Amino acid sequence: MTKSIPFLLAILLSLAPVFAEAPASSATAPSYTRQQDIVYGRSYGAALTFDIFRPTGKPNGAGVIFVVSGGWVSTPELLGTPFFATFVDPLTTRRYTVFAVCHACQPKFQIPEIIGNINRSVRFIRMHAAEYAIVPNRIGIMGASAGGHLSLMQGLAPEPEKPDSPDPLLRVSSKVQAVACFFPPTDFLNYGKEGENAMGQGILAAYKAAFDFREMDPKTHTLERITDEARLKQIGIDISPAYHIDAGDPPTLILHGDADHLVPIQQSELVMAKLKAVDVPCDLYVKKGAGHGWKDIGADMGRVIDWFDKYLSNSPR
Amino acid sequence: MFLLAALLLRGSVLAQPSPATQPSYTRRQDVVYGRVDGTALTMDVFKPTGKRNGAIIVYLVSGGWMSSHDSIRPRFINALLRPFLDRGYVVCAVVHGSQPKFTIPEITPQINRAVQYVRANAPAAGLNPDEIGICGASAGGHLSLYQATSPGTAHPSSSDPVERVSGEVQAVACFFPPTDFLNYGGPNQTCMPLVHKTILAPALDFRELDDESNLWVPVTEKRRVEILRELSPINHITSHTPPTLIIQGDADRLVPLQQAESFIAKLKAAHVDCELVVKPGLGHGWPMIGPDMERCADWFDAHLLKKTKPDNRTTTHPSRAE
Repeated sequence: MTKSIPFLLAILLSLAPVFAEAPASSATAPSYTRQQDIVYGRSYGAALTFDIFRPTGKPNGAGVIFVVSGGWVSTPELLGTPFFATFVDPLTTRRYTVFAVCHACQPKFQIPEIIGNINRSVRFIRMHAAEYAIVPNRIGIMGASAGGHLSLMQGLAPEPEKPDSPDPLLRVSSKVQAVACFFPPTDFLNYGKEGENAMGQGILAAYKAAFDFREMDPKTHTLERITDEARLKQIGIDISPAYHIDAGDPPTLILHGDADHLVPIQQSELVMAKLKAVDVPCDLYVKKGAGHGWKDIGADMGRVIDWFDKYLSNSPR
Repeated sequence: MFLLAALLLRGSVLAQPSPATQPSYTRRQDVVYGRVDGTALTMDVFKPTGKRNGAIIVYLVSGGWMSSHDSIRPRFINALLRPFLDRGYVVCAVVHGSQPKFTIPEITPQINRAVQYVRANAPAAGLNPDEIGICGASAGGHLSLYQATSPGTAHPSSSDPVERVSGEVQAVACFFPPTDFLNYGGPNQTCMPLVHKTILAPALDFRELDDESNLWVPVTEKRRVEILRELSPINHITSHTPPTLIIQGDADRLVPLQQAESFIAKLKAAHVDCELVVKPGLGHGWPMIGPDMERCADWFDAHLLKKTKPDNRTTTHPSRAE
């Protein structure tokens, strides 16, 4: 797993300064109680989990899903750290219920499977909304980097519900009502500039495994790599948020540094233009001179929460 | 085929009259014993409501190296776990990462982790960390024998309390387990022709993570043979191997009787307590497994409970000593 470090490192690095600056929040009473390891699905025998952070104050009825992902690697170990608290605490202080959703990781699992995990988590949380003291149609989603990508995918391209499915969970909608995310990849086929393919190559070469798509070969019964160029391109479209924008999409806020080399700000500009074209409420907050993560990123949680306040209010879109 | 066998086995279990009595146990689902690739590895812990004997049975939920929490249903519990619960054992039904995503070399460390987890948490639950038995059928039998013969060692200085204890088990009872992948059915015949292009193929489709690309790449043929040798419990037998019971049909075409016979012969040569129960005319699974489960429970009674009395248990143990 050492090779999956780069992305992880990227996110940890982006967060490390936050950690350093974090006030000694342990001195004050925490604004939440944490419940660990709720199983929201299964994948090849393994369990998919999230942790719930419930506000100690009266819940405001809205839920925020935090997609725990950096480089499409999810780290449940992160959830108990003071660093993670810098994201959760502002939300629970303003009485949101936070769901820190973990997913199956690359290099073992690939992006389409991970997107499936997140969809399942939204359905599961909605199905159990009453239990979690949230309103089913007041769910927001957020994340950074790969977590931002997955948040956008969920916002712009939720898997449709299947009313006839024998699995009651699949009959539940996987739509979210608002998105707020940090520096997300949005178009793997036009990455940084038109025509630039970053499907595990170019700028994203270090994340090849996340794009190493496999399928069961019916002849050999083994999982084999998909190599057909046309199919790969189609998968690239399927997993790029930019291709799934329509007027029904939820309000979307993106925060992005204009000196980000790993995820160029062009990625955010691209989706913003498309969202605006179909009159979906959206906003891009450009952090001048900032790269992939910045020192006082925790301070920007205020913007995220203002966005959720505005669009997860009692009147759903 | 293995899965099929497992399903058939389950089917035959279904045919049994299920006890109409009240559950005499509690069940705690999804106890997380480890993490892999962002996911959680889980076990369901069953505790008898009556008197406990202080020992623990790790039951491996596995057929064809596939594992599913969904398979832990009332009939499964009644047929396979109740015999132990009724005698006062705590039973941990362990689910592992499944093929086709996870191959056998990835599954074996998960089983080890499960046993370590059980051991590390036993004292706090009033159970004896040195009375752990392991049980399973087919692939679950293989994984049981592998764990018994190749347990992970304790790392006393680890920051993780689970890693401070060993993965050793004190007794094994299993059904029709593969034991020797390189001498399968006879000398110098690998199991590969049997699994090739079947639903079992992915479990043995070994891949290793390439440092350069971070991609999972298929291993070479030479490496495959090395891995098959390493994964064969027969190659890890020592005089310290715990007491082993194998129950096996002599008409099993998926896992030939030879697998059990050669394993038991080697155990005998190493002076390990062992027994092979041959079921004449039976294949890979059979109806009315009840009496055979009782036999497994007898084996555990004889080999787990013999050393100490309930009163003077759990005196010294690494997880306590730390």
